[in-house]
Amino acid sequence: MDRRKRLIVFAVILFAVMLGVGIGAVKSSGYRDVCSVYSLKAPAELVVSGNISYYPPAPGYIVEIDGPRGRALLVSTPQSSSAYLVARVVRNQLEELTGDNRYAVFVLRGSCGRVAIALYSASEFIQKYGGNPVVSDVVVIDAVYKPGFTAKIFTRDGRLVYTGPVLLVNKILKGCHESYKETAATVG
Amino acid sequence: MRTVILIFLDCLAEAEDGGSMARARVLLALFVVVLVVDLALSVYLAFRGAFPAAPPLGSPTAYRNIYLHIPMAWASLALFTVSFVSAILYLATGREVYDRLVRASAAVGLVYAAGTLVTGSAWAAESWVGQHIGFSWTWDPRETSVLLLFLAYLVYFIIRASIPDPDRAATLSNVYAVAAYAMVPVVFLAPSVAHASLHPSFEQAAAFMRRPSVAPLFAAKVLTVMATAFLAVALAASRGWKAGIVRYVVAGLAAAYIIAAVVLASPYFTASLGYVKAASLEDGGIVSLKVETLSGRMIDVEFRHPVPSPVKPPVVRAPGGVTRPSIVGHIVEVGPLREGRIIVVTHWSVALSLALTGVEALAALLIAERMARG
Repeated sequence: MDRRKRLIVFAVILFAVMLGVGIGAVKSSGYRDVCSVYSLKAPAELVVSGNISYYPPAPGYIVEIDGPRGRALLVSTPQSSSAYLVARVVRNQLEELTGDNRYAVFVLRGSCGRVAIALYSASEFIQKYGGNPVVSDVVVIDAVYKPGFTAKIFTRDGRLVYTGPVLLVNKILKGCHESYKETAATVG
Repeated sequence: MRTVILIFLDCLAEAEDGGSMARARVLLALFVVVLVVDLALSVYLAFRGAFPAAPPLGSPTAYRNIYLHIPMAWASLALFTVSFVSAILYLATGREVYDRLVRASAAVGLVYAAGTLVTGSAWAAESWVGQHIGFSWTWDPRETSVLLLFLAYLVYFIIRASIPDPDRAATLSNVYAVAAYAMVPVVFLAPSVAHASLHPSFEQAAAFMRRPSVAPLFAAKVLTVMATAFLAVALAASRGWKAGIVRYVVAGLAAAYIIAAVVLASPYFTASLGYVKAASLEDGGIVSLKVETLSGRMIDVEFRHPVPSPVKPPVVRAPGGVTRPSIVGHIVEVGPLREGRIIVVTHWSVALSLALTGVEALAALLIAERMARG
């Protein structure tokens, strides 16, 4: 093989290596799956993504949160949707839930099939995303995980629907995928 | 196909001998003409371009970045493709003209990639994070891939500059230029390879761009940005020319982009602004608004008579089937609301993108002139 051909072959091999490195870097720098919280042993602030698990139709839901130093009880309100509950705090011994008296409660399912329960201050959620927020099927959240916090979501008649570790949401990162399906608007 | 590519590359880089000055003059004239058209288009789209009516987060006008950010990104990818093909041709033939093309297209491509990163992170702060002022970096797979692409081509110039022997530098840097192009497919694949991405895929974004009020203007904008970028590469790959007065003309045009951007963003400096959080409509007009100022104060405004919505159509169906007034989410000037006037303000990230479009064109010309000098 002459020198020029050798150089091209070398370049192509290097291209393949860089492609592998690039794909690996993008894959590993992407958002962690919500299942990753199951392997955490210490408090952590993390950005995770998960599929929204929709709430089956029911007259109402009760959310019970157990923490290392107490328990909180929340009851769903009519502002809830199938993608999230807006739940009012009716009893609270947890200092982590003193920021608001209502929380948006999301159930995020990871690729392992397990779920985590994400709690976001309802005032902030509604203030930021409006009265009828649109929630994508896949949600990316910036949240705090603290070991020892678990949530159980029951229907009013006491049937357990979901249970999982708790994530306290700092912010929801919104994808703009849905936006492009919309009507085009103009100002003027 | 191969012949077409070779002719195209030869057209970009021809001009080693006589006639090169005449060719450069034509290219410079074309550069100015295309830039004037791009300026007119960019200003129109930044001030008047259509946008998705009800995005889930932030000001809908931030989506006017579609017309500025995306063409920049595509131009950088197209230039890196020229660089890749030229690098292979250089390795295969050893012709110096291809080496010049690699350098020229990588340099101008880097300018556009840098613009893509800056404008993207300003837009993402508004539309992904809901952070109204400032930039954001969320390590979204597409964001990460464009950063990798930028760094990969930056390394090309470091390799080139660090080898003293010109022949060796050309050979090794061209081998690397072929490899660096691997980041381009990574940019395309990023949203589908990663577990989740905030960035839409091309197919998702194309759904909006195909709309009759968007498609022709978007296509024209892509064409003018591509033409500006490719003319800069053709100039950079040529020799023996000086920009002369054209440099000042292009600097003037870049200043015009910046002035238009300052005018677009001026309400941020001169008026109190707020985001419309809720609106009530009666008989097609707006009768009340709930506005949150940038400092976080909530204001309720009741109008004596219904005010026509400045956003058309006034009511839209948001994703998820919810119907809402299209004014919701927009930034408005708070003062005029008391007089029954609703003035919609374009998000500042669009002004930034507009200014950077002009700066990039000027930077591309200056780089081209510098490279042409050798």
